[in-house]
Amino acid sequence: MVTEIEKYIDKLLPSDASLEMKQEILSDALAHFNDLIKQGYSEKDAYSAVIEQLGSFDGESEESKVVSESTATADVEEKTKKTEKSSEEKMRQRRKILNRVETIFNATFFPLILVIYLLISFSTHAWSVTWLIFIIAICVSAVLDGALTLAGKKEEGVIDDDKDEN
Amino acid sequence: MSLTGDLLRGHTEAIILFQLLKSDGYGYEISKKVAELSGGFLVLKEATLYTAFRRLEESGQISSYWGEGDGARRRYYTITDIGKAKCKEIKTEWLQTKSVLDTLIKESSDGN
Repeated sequence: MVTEIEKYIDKLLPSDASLEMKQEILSDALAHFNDLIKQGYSEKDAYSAVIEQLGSFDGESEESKVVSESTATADVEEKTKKTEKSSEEKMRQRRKILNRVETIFNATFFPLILVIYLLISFSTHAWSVTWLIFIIAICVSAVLDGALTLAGKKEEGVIDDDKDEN
Repeated sequence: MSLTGDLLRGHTEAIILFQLLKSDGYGYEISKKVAELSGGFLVLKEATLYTAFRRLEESGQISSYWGEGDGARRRYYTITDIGKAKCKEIKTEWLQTKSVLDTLIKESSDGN
């Protein structure tokens, strides 16, 4: 039986297990076996009890698995937080870009229209018609302004939705 | 039974440390003592025990030496000063936790 226990431990332990570890487990297993024999167990029953008591050395023990599971959960939470932060950061950047576009648009649109109006008017001398450029420009400005405002609100809405979900 | 086992298993390292606080011991000896003292509620598998030993040794809370016992060569574990300090810390934390749980469970029972 002693040889069988030894063989079992050899198979049970990972291939990289040190000789010291094997000796330690074997001596403890034999102490357990002898103890059970002293208590009146048959060799077969004592062997089965010792084998059962050894557990599994594949990977990690039950307890370390519990620890690993909690560590894994913490890792997932950490990753989720990082993803949330990066998506919020992206949205903030998009909003900044939109604000910049709006500012540039407001600052340059009407001076540009004025330049276009003067260029066309002086080159065509159609002053009675070219004033319509301002009307068209006002309409275009309103549409673009509306589109930008809508895009900005959409971004804010997405962020608010995310916060609500969190 | 299962809940008690899970709760106890979560404290394997502490249990080993407190056993070694009484006297040096080897794997099977500690495992046997734990099983007896817990009334059979906690039976530490060798794999769990050795994983805990390695962790405790790596963190400097215990150290080991080879010795003779009952005519066989055995690896004995002894608690270090770091381990002793850890025991004090664990005890304080445990008493605090116990006190909080006692209060919470008592309050809940009174409510029912």
